[in-house]
Order: sequence, then structure tokens, then C-alpha cells
Amino acid sequence: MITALLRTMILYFLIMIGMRLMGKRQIGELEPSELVLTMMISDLASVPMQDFGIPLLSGFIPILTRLSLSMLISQLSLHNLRFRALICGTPAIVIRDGKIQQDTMRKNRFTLDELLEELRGQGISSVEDVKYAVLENSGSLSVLPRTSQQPPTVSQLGLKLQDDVTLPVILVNDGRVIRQNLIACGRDENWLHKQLAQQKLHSPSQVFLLTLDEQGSVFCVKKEAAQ
Amino acid sequence: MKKLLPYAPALSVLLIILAFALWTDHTMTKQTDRWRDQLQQADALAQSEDWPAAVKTLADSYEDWGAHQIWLHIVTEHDAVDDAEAMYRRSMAFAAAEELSEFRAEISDLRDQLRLMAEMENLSIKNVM
Repeated sequence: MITALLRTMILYFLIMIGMRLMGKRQIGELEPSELVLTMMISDLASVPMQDFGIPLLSGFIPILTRLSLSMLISQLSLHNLRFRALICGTPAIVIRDGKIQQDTMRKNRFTLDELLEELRGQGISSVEDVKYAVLENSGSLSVLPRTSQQPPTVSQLGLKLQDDVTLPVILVNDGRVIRQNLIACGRDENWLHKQLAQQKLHSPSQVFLLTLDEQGSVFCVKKEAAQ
Repeated sequence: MKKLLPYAPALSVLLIILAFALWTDHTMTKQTDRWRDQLQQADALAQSEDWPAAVKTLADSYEDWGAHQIWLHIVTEHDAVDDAEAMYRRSMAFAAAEELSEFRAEISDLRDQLRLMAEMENLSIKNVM
């Protein structure tokens, strides 16, 4: 047991150092500590599942150890910025004011081809059109184009438009009434039945989706069998 | 103190695991030492040709061993436990047949197997590496 605990700790930190040394390109969507956790836990769980000669506890202890270490690292990262930078790295600016930061690219082992591919993926054909491009800790590239290359916003055009962005609340989900949401919206079953009657429906079970937004607009999708 | 509170769940789990691991190490050493002593006693009795006492001592030791099977299967590799179980049974067969040389060889192997089982749970660089 103690061997499993110590081995887990050693391997966890070893792989995490390895992930940090490999650079941001290898990481993808997750932070290094999360990636190591995801990578190792799935493997660990499968061993006692397949080999009945190993005590179940041999799978439990490394998994619990890793989860605890990951929680500790997350908490430490939250409280200590230096530690966070050490574990997760810091975002790197690879294009500043239309100029490629070659030294930063070299340090992050980020090739020109990869940079251009990322820019093309975001609809930008010229490096000069970019104000900032930041290589994030997750390995993704955030591109901030120059203002001249961005579509004008409503405020830039000086237009006065009504704010129509609302968050619809689901009231009926696949025939089931979400009463909690209905109450939160200040509506009741009678109101719901009136809405259903307007749609020529008799019961919520005939509804696939029914939502209500902040402006009071109802959106209803009938179940295919009920149509 | 308040600052340490968010770390408490993770640290608690790690400390519980550490305490359990150290307890397992201690208990395994204690138990296997007892079984090894019982086997040594059976060996001494067999050498003095007191076979009924040797058989009885070995049977008692096997009963003691059998009472800890669930715990052994929880904390250590099942193959190691099964090997020791087979050795116990062979030793009992040799004792019943009063075959001294085979009995002594089997008892020696069984004592080594029990020592290795305890060693597997020990906190040592050798194990970690």
C-alpha cells in the first residue's frame, strides 16, 4: 500500500514535469495537471478491472492519491500565482502589433506553419492584420485582430438597438414538465396548459421542447408523433 | 488556519491513505511474524520426531492463517496469498506422511513466502524502485 502511494506520487509529478517540458503544443484543451489526471486515471481503473489477481484496493489507492494531489495543486494554484505559473505555465504572446515574436515562438517550440495554420483557421490571412496572438496555457491560440479588420459593432456604428439577447428557460423537456423552472419564471400549470392549447396540444407529453425567454416569448417544438 | 481549510479534504484523504498504508505495513509484518514463528515451532517439533504435535501446531497455524484470508486478499496480491495457501496444504500433507526432508523444505519455502508478503508492504526504497 505504501509502495503504491509513493509510486503514484512520484509518477504523477514525473509525468506532470514531462508535460510541462513538452510545451503548450502537446496539451490541447486541458491544463497539464488535468491532462495527467485524465490520462492516468483511465489507465489505472482498467488494471484491477481486468486482472482479478490484483486487490481492488491497488486501484483505489492510486486513484484517490491522484485525485487528492490534483485537488491540492488546484488549491495551491488558486492561492499562489507563482505556483500556478510553475504548474500551468503563462500565456505567451506570439504576435504583437502585427510582428511575430520569434524568440517566444522558439521558446514554446511553436512553428511558423502551426501559427499560420491557426490564423487561417480563424479566418485571418495576414500576420499584419493581427494586433495580438496569444498562445494560451491550454495550447490554443487566441487571436485578436486589429480594429480595422474586425466587423463594426453596434456601439461603434452609434446605433441604438433594443437588447434582445435573452436566456430561454426550458419548461418542458421531452414531455416532462420542469416545475422548478416554471415556478422560477413566475408561471403555473394553468398558464402552461393555455400555451399548449394555443399550440393545439392537450398535454405536455405531446411536447418535445417548450421554452420561455425573459421577454415572455414561448418557443414550442411538438413531438413528432403528436404532429 | 482559515487559509488551510480548502486544502483539508485533499490532505485528509492523503493522510488517511498514508495512515492506512503504514498500518497495513505494521499489521502484515506482525501477522506474518506470528505465522513464521508457528511454522518454526512445527519444524522444531518435526525434527524431534514429535509428529502429532507438529501436525497440531501446523493445523493451528493454518487455522490462524485462514481466519485472515479476507484481509489478506484486500491488501496484498492474490497470487502471493494463493501460493502461501498451497504451501500450507503441501506442508500439512508432508507432516501427515511424516516425511521430514520434504516437510522441512516446504516449511522453509512457506516461511520465505510469508516474509516476502510482509516485505511487499514495507516502506523501503527497494519497493518503491
